[in-house]
Amino acid sequence: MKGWMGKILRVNLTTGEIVTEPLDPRLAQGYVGGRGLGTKLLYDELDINCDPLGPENMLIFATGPLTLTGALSSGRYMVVTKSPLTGTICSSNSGGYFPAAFKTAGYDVLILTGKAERPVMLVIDDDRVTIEDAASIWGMDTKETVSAIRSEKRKDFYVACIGPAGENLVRYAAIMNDDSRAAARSGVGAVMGSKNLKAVAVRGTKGVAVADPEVFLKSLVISDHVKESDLGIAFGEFGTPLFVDVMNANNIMPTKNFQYGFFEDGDVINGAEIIDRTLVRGKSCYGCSMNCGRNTRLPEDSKYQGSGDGPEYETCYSLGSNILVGDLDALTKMNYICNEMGMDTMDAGSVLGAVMELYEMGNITDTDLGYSLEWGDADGSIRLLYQIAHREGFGDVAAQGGEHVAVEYGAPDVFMGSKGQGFAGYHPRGMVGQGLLYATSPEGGNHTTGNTIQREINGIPEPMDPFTAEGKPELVISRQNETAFVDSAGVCVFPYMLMDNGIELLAEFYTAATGLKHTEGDLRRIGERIFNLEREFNRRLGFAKKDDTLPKRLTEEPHTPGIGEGNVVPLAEMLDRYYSLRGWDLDGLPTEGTLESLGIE
Amino acid sequence: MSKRIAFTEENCTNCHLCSMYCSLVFSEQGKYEYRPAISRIRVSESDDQRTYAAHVCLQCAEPACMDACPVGAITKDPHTGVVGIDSWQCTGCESCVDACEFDCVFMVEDVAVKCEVCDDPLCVKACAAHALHLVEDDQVDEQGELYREVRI
Repeated sequence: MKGWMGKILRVNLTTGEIVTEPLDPRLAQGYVGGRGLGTKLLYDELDINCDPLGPENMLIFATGPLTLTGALSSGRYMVVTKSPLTGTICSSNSGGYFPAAFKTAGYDVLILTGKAERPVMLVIDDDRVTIEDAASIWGMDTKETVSAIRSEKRKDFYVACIGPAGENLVRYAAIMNDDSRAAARSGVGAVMGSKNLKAVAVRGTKGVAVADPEVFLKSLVISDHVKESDLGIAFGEFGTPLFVDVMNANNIMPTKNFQYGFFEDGDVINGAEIIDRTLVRGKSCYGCSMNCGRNTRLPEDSKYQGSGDGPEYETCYSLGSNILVGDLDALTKMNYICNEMGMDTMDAGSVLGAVMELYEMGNITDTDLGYSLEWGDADGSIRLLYQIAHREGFGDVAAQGGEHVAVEYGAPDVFMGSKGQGFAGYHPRGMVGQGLLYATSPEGGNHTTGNTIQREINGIPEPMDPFTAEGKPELVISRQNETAFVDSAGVCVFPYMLMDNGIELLAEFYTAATGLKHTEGDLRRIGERIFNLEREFNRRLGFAKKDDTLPKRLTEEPHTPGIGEGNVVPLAEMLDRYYSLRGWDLDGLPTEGTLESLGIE
Repeated sequence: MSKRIAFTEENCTNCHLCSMYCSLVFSEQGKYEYRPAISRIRVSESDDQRTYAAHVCLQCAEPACMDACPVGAITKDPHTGVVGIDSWQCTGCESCVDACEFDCVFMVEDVAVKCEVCDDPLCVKACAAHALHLVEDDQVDEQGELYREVRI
């Protein structure tokens, strides 16, 4: 079997037992890797009703058969587990160098179970796998942790770790790897913290065999084409903050906790401003030529100091427009803090947005917080971010997530998310397909299980009215299925999203790597299987149509002045058709016939 | 006149594609593997992760690795200037690895290996950032800026 390493590494942190077992080729072919394979393993093995932060939960790291191959942007892995934020299945994606390094150690998948008695780290040095004491690094932020592990004898190891947020079980804690890359969403870092596992350090000498190298020689030419296309150039020059301008121009930049779609200070926190003010240089993940990463440093004359990566677009929204911080330095500082503390910038911003709105309403007071927190208050926000990571004061409540805060303080409707997870930076009132996508995502309000922007906003391959229900269920299903495959293959969605024929090309790469002939249709089918398996996992936990919801702000409050003024998300209208096209019943549950036709047992 | 791979640090994005594709060339016979651990070009980054270096042999005029080799396994081709290692003669003593101050000689399965400049180097083709170029030594002298020595 080419592409895969053919091995699963299992580590039980309670007993210290470490075993290696072969990867079942049928599982690999049916569910690929990453998100798909992780979901299948969780579905087959997890005690589904377990506490996500209990020792029974499984924390799965999985690369895909295309990780560390010549497929475009092949440096990715997924973290799959039962989420402590949403209670659903979740998979969180990251790039950087750790994923490729993990694969060179000879494994496709790492399954972590149990709970160590004391803080530990897992060291994977090819076939030598050991559990070591981590008392000396427990409490360190993520940058310090990576440096401490890589100094001295482990200079050539790559590290994934948690920061204080993960240690303190913040329900949206991230697993950070290398320099500021994050498997950020759904609280995967809290699951790692609950296992007393501070870090995984890895080094390897093995290689990934591919069936047909000729295709990958051709991919070098394709890679140049993508990089030199208009979008590719813009991506390399501005990174993801490029989207600030796109979103603002289309009135879909979520602003003031999704009250608006336009942020008047957008040009202060966009890609061009980052180049002018903080950019040190662009950077890539392993095996990717896109160069969309931002290596940044705050200027010496700034009130805020520090260096690191980013912010990415999603953070420009969540900790910028969403809380009315029109100050690149403050935003960048908050981004560094989240990275160092090891927590998701999106949910952190979503929580801050809800808290600020509740503060304005008088539901949260100075007495609750110990200080004031008006819209746009960067210093107050910074204070709260540190409190969240350490669960101090009001931070202990805020660490439970935006939905929890909103319910606790008497206004559930101010939480801008779905299934307990805060939204990404695309305002559904101005692109209603994205609303359907958020509502039906297996892990709530994220942008990583699909994105409709290329069609609804950029009009590629052809224009589509972003304000009506027409064609949206079809579009969303197609994006969700494609993305499920992308997330399972071990590649990044960006280059494939930028191309008209991205999935066709991915099929060519998948075939060339594995030697298993696959068409574009085959990939979509596998993606559909994975998406349905996630849905079935959630069904067993009681999730159904009642949970496929959006806040009233999106479905009832009319869109504010600008493009799409007056529009709302016609969720009910889209949802029934979506279920029917999916082959699910009226309650949004996969029928036996549907599961059977997809080969799900 | 000497052919070699020149590295321009400013253009590098630390993507390691050079190392991935080099390893494809040197895979075991009959196999095609992306295996950075056997690559003849390796990328490293400074501690602050702000500077990158592609470690690829400079084909030195007076190679320290050659002087260090106790068995004469390393020679410099008088015509091309390329420094080569005879893997049959190599005893795996690692003297050359220690002698190279640019960290451009690597051990692969107990044999020393280094860049011996392919005819049509895949590492250069793979470098979408244009940080690698195949150059003649005199070209470097004229342009001066084309190669800037980076040690990490």
